[in-house]
Amino acid sequence: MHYTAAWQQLHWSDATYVLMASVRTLQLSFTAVLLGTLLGIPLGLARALSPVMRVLTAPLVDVVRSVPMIIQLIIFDTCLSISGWPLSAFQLGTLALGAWMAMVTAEIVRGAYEAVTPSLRRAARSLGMSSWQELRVVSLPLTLRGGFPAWVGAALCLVKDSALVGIFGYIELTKAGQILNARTHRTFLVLGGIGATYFFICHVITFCTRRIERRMAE
Amino acid sequence: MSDYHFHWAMALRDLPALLQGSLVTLQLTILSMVIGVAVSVPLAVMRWQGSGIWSAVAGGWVDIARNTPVLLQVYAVYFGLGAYGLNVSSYMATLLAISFNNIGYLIEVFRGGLASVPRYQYISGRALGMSATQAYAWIVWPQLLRIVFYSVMTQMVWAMLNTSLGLLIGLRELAGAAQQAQSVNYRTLETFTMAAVLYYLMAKLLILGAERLYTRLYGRR
Repeated sequence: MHYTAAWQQLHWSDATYVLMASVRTLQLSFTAVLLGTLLGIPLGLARALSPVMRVLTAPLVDVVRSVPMIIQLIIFDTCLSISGWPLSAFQLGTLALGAWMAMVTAEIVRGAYEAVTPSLRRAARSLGMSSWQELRVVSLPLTLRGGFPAWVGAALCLVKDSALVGIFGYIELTKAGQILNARTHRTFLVLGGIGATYFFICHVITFCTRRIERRMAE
Repeated sequence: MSDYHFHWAMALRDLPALLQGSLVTLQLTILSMVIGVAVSVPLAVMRWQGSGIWSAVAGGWVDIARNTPVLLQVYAVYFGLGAYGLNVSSYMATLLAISFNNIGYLIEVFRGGLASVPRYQYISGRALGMSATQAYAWIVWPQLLRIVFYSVMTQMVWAMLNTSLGLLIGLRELAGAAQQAQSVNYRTLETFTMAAVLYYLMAKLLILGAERLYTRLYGRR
C-alpha cells in the first residue's frame, strides 16, 4: 500500500488562517485592555487619593507584577474550574490579562496623578472649584495625558502576553503558528512569519498612538 | 469554591522538588543576565556611536526582541534550531531565548544610560591621552552603571518571570517542576499557588539584594 506523509506544504489559504488568528489576538487584547483600563483608572485614582486604599491594594499590585503571567493564568483557570463557572478560553484570557492590565494601569495613573504639579491643583481650588471639579477638569485630563505613553507600553506588553492564552485553547497568532508548523514542518518560515505579524501589529499600534500623543500635546 | 477541599499536606510533599526548580530558575536568571549584559554593552556602544553594520544589528535586535512575544522567541529557538538539526536541550533553548530577549531590552537601557552621561566626559578622557576603551572603562562606565542600575535590576526580575516559559518546552524550572508535581499529586491549585509564592519570594529576594548592593556601592538613594 502506498503511503504518503500526512504533512502538506504551506498554501495560500494559510494566509487567511493567520490573518484570522491575528484578528483573534487583537480581539482578545482589545477586550482585556478595555477591561483593564476601565478598572485601572478608578483604582489608580483611589490609590493616589486615599492612603487606606493604597495600603489595601498594594499587595495586589505587587503580586501581579512578581508572579509570571503563565502561573497567573493557570491559577485563574484552576479557580474557575473549581468554582464551576464554565468560561471559555477567551473569557479566561480577558479576565486574567484584564486583571494584570488593571493593576498596571492603576500604577501608571497613580504615578501620573502624583506628577501633576500641586500648585496647579491649588490654583484650581482657589478659583472656587470643588475638589470633584478640580479632579474632573484639571487633574484627571493632565493625569491621562501624562500616563498615556506608559499605558501604550503596557498595552503592547499585553498584546505580546496574549500569546500565552493560546496554551489554554484560544487559537491566536502563536497557537496558529504552532498548528501550521505541526502540519507543514516549515518551522522558521512559519514562526518567522508569525513574528513578523506581531512586529507589524506592534508597529501599527505605536504609529497610531504617536499621532494621538502629538495631537494631545498640541 | 464552596465544596473544594484544600489538601496542602499533599502539595507540601512536593515542596523540595519546587525548591529544586527554583534553583534552576535562579541559575537561568543569573546566566541569562550575565550573557545579556556581556552582549548588550558593546552593542549599545556601537548603537550609540551611530552608523556601521553593528549599529544596524543592534537596532534590528532591539526591534525584534521587543516586538515579538517571549513565548514565540522560546519556540523559535527550541523548534527553529531543531528544524535545522541543531537539537538544543530545553535548558539551553530557554537560556538562549531569554538571553536574546534580555539583550534586546538591555541595549536600549544601556543606550539610554550612555545618552545621559555627558559627552564631554568621554572627550576629556580622550584628551587626557586615554584610548577609547580606557575612556569607556574608567570614565563613562562607572557613571553609567549607577544610572542604569535599577533598570537592569527590573530587567532581571522580568528575566526571572520569563524563564517560567521553559515549562512549555519541558524544562523543570520552578513552573515546570510545579507542572510535573501537580500531574502526580492532582493538587493543581495548591501546587501552583506554592509556585506563585516562591516566584514572589524570589522576586523580592532579587530586589532586596539589588537594593543592598546599590547601597554598598553608592550609598543611600
